[in-house]
Amino acid sequence: MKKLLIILTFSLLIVGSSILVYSETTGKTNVKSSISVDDAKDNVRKFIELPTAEINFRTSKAFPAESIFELNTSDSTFYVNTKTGEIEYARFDKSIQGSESVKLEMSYAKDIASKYAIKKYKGFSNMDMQLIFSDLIDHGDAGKEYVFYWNEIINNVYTPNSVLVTINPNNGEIITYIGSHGTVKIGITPQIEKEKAINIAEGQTRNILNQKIDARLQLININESTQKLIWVVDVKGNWEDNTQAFSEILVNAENGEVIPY
Amino acid sequence: MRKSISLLFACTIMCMFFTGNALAYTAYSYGTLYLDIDTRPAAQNVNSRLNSIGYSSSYQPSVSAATAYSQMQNANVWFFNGHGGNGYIAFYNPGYRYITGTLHNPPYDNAISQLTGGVLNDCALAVFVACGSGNSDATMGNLLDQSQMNGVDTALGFSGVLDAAKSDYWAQQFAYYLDQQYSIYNAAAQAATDTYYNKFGYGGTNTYVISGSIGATIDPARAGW
Repeated sequence: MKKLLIILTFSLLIVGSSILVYSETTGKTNVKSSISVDDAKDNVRKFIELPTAEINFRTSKAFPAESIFELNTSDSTFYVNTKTGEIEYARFDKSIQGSESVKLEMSYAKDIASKYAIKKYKGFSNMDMQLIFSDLIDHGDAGKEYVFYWNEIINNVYTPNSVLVTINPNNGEIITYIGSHGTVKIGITPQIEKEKAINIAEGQTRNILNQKIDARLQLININESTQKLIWVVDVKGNWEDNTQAFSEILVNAENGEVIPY
Repeated sequence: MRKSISLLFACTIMCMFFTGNALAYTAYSYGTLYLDIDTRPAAQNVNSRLNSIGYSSSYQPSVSAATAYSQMQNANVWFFNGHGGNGYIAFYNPGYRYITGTLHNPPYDNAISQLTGGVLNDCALAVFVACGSGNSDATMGNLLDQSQMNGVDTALGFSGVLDAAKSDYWAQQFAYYLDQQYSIYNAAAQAATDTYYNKFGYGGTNTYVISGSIGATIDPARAGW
């Protein structure tokens, strides 16, 4: 009995110290991770193709569907998925220099962005990635950026696989990269028709006048274990005082339930 | 007795010094219960962050445009979250309910262009979280340009149409990053990214427009330069 107690105490001590080591490795928060911070730093170095770059750990963050390590250099920020080690977000602050003037055509910038997406986003070429959105956004004194957004579409359903790349319109440098990855875990045939979903969204947005409604089917990872097929209904129009209105309503395509977010 | 008076005097001086420092900089955070949306909870959150930075920040729920306009004139940080459009922001209360860039329909507007003579020189940051608040209008002008022209160091608005749930989240994250000593540009960009991750898309929050110093920080709390 005494031996058992000693073994049990010893085991608890080992487990306890493992947890402490884990906490130190991952930072202050209790983010469950599969990779270490050092692995994440190495992945960033590979991503930016600078093997000796000084990478710092800033914090850990838990989003609804994933957890990330936030790492940075003196002029860039990265989110690394704590489970897969993928670089999900990169922002290069230095790249906004000179971005107040537009020298590149959008088609040229798109070419740069798509080459970057193909290079950095695992499996881009094997997916049915479609360019959903492209625009030139003016941030005033923070410069301008071309934005290009691709999403994988299967049977008219937007999957969790998407890439966003923004480009300095002056010199073609990459400002932002966001790469989201995910597998299709559930059936993608909706039980609720598009018209029904729109009706439900209209019921939620009666105060918006002169409505222009658009709806798309999207697989959304609500949390790490739950994926849902959602009608994303965008309602645009104006409020009664004529100010612009925009409301995005998420309708569960299985049962018509409105999902708060 | 003399010792006690000296001690009391020293304590008073110290209190004045520390309290003076803590209350030296003023901020306002505006949220409104509109007929359709309620931006008050997000404004309250922003207010807490501004206090955490070191401002003596005051949460202003559903006040009139005239009140907010008046408070702008002694604010070091002025933070609005609500409805708006090109060249204006809208308050719930009927009558005198807009703040505009330029004078549009006197006397019903409170135009920032009227705040001349360095009235806004002490304002380090003015934030207009509202649809189209970063755009110009032929008659109502431009909120950001007018703010900056009249002394605000940095003014921030949006060129796009905002989804309320997402812009509320952006506002809170923006204030959080300011509290983490991020520059105004970095805080705006990072808040948009977090909105993208947490709320399943930008909802217009990536259309932030900044007029003035993008690399400035407001932590520690400060007045305009």
